[in-house]
Amino acid sequence: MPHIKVGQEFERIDITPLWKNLNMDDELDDDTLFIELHCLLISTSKFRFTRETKIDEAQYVDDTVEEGRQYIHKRYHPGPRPANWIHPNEVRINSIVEGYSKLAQKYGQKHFDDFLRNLYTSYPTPDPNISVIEYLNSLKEGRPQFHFKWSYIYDFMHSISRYFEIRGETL
Amino acid sequence: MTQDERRKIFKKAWVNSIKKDLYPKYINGSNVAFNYFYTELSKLLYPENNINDELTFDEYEKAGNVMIRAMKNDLESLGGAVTPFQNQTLENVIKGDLVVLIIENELLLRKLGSRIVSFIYLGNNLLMDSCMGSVINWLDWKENPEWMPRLLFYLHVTQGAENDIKYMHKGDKWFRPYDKADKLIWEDFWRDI
Repeated sequence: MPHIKVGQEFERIDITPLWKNLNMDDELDDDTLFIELHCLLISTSKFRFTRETKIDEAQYVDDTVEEGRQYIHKRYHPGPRPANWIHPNEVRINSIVEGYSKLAQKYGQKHFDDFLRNLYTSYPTPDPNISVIEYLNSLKEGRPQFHFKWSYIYDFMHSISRYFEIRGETL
Repeated sequence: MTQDERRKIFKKAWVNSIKKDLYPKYINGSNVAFNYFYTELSKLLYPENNINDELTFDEYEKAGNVMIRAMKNDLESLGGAVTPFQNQTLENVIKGDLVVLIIENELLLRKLGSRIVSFIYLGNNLLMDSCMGSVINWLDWKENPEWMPRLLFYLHVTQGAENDIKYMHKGDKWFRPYDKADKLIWEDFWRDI
């Protein structure tokens, strides 16, 4: 295995030594596409730590000390934003949608769109008359506790919905 | 084992582990992707006489992160060879091992339910995250000033196998890899990952 340099980041799974060593690009089938979609989601979340990744969350801060209280206050009262400021969640969803477009080029636009559309529309819900987003939102109601798994699924489905929305299609 | 065979096995275990989280039985709970990956890998490498094909993930899926804090105790109770890190390097860890670390910012993470993070070691200081979705370089991440990561312990999956020490069984079914022959298969698989 070649030496990995300090500072060498793998923002995508297909540039990792793992991907290259396994010759994953030799078999670009639906399973490989599914893996790449998943890795795109995870890599754009805070699960992919880097040397520069910030915690940037208020809910975990120790509010029994002044320093913690100041941090929380600053998070909830950030002051005037620059005119071109974009919410971090929006930045993230844009990154995912941009990643989808790149994967569409790699796997073929029609095939990619069909795969992604099917992933969304066939997601199991207890009632066929409610959409997957409605279903996921209903699970969150009255449950303030954060669940990463729920968040992962929501992000996946929301980003697919957004991808098609930009292309003029409502799922 | 050829690289094609290696890829097919890794890929199948990978896809199934992702599906376990995307289509969970219990939607509010922990991610179980990397746990499931190990289980799937075991079943694919050792399809016979393997207790892993009887395991269910219901309790794991239901549990929140808070409830899996005692992972080290669980692993030790099940016979796992847990080795605490003596220093903050991965020099004694081998490919395929489970690596566990803690993130320690007392101010910013005081209320976080669990600060324990698990990874699969890929060699060369690279770690696959527990969601099976990204790869990080430990040499970089250990320098992060906010999360303050510290290596806690690692688990040699095949430790004991060289002496044919068998853990966990139900009748004639055993937790595999469990003997010298299994160890060779395990090491052959991970060698070129």
